[in-house]
Amino acid sequence: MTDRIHLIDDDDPARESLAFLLTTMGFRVLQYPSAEQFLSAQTDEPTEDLLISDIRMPSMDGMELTRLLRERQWSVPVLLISGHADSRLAQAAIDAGASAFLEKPYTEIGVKDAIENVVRRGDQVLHGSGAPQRRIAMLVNSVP
Amino acid sequence: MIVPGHRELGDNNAPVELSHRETIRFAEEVAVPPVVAQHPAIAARGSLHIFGGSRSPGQKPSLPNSVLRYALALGTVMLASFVRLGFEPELGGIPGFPFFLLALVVSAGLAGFGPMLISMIASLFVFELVILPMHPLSWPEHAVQLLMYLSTAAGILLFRYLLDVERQATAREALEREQNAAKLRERDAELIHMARLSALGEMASSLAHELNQPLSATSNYLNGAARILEAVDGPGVATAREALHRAAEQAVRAGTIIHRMRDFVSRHEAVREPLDLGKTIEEASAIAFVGAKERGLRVTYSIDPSCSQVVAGRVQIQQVLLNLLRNAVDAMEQSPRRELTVSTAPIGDFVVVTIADTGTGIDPQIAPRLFQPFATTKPAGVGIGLSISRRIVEAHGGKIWVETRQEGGSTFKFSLPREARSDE
Repeated sequence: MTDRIHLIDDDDPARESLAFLLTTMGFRVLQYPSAEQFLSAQTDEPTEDLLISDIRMPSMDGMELTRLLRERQWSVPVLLISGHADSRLAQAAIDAGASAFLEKPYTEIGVKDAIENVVRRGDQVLHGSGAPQRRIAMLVNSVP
Repeated sequence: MIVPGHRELGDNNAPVELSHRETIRFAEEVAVPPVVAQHPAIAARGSLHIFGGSRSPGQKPSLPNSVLRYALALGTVMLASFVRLGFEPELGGIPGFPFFLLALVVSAGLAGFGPMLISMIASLFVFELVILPMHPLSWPEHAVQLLMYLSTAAGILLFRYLLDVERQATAREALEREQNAAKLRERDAELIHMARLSALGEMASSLAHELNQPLSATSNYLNGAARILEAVDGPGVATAREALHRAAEQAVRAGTIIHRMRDFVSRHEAVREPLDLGKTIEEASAIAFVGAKERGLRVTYSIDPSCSQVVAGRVQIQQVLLNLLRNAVDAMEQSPRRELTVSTAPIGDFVVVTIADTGTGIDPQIAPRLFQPFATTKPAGVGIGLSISRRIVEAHGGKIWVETRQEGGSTFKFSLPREARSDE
């Protein structure tokens, strides 16, 4: 059982600030400045965790990362974030296999709802075997 | 995904090679659409040209009019000669003269008195020096009079005709010039308008991205701080917490304003239509190469008509082409060899447009951020041309990239999805 969130964003202030907010919400946050660094840090699928990634990053972007994870049959829930959002991009994110999509700048409620959605969707993806995500869901619901 | 691949130009299609001079004329002809020729007034006037020379726009009235001028000079010389003959009593003299005088008055009235008088006076000298030494005294009297009248009539007609042709040609040229200029003005205005909108869109998009990061961070920190304060008791803490939440809301609101501005701009770019890429390249060339006359530019086109159909925003694609063509011309400013190749080729479901120059190539320092806003090597450039181009191409579902040529210069390529053709 874990309440870990892997947070990937090349923009340091954006990543650190979100990590700060998530920490105050009660999550444990692991930060990575690139998708490559996230991947090299994982020996196995972090099945119990949640992944939050920025879309636009210099080398591997959030979409490519999501596709790669789905190709590997990793069902870890992915929440993609972008400052360049439009409906096409949101659809593309979902098509790539993301569980939810969040547009910058977001409200605190927005983050909470998005995480909740991801966890719910994660449940669907896992066909009911998403116990760890339920742990996160409970955590999210307990956030005032 | 497009695989960038270099394709030798003209291997399948005979390349249309144009010297710069031809390119400019081609450009002018492109700029004057067939509408001008179909204009009823012009078509009617155009039929007056007896030498079959319906002139292409911009071309100087050369051969037909000079031939007419020679013929006119000859006619008036003959005319004046017989005027002089009319004064010779021994050649039939005065009896023929009143008729001749009448003919002169009529011709002067028709053709204009001034020009007639000048050419007559000039011709009298020719009569004294040429016609009289030829001893026309041996000619029969009636033949002289007949020739006199005939040549008078010919002179009048000739003069009149020349004036008409000249006047009509001038009017036609003026009309063409005006329509040409109006068309170009209209197109320029359209392009400038779109360029402004695109620049605004690019600015808004860049701003949205650049500002969203710090705004998100601000909002996150404020919300996080407010959460921490929830565990703290004390005078004024609740107020401070509320203030932090409100500050966070304002940061989000600032971001929303920028988003709204970007959305507003992008709405104007949504119109797509079936487009012939070859024609669009011609149109963009017409504008891009104006003013490049002195630079000794050689442009080669290799357009594959089988893959020219796309569905796209006409002015937007024109703008991409214009950016790339202008960049290419600018990049070759200092080059000894100024050759530009524009080609299209199908790659899978896409058509790839290639614009290759023999210019200075891409500075390796700027190459990684070439398509990002505000990256420029031009002293007077703002650096949004290529980022706008990328945004346009990507919005159409294509890609844009650059390759460095081994022989010097750079090759810009962009792809657009091909329209599914009904006959395939």
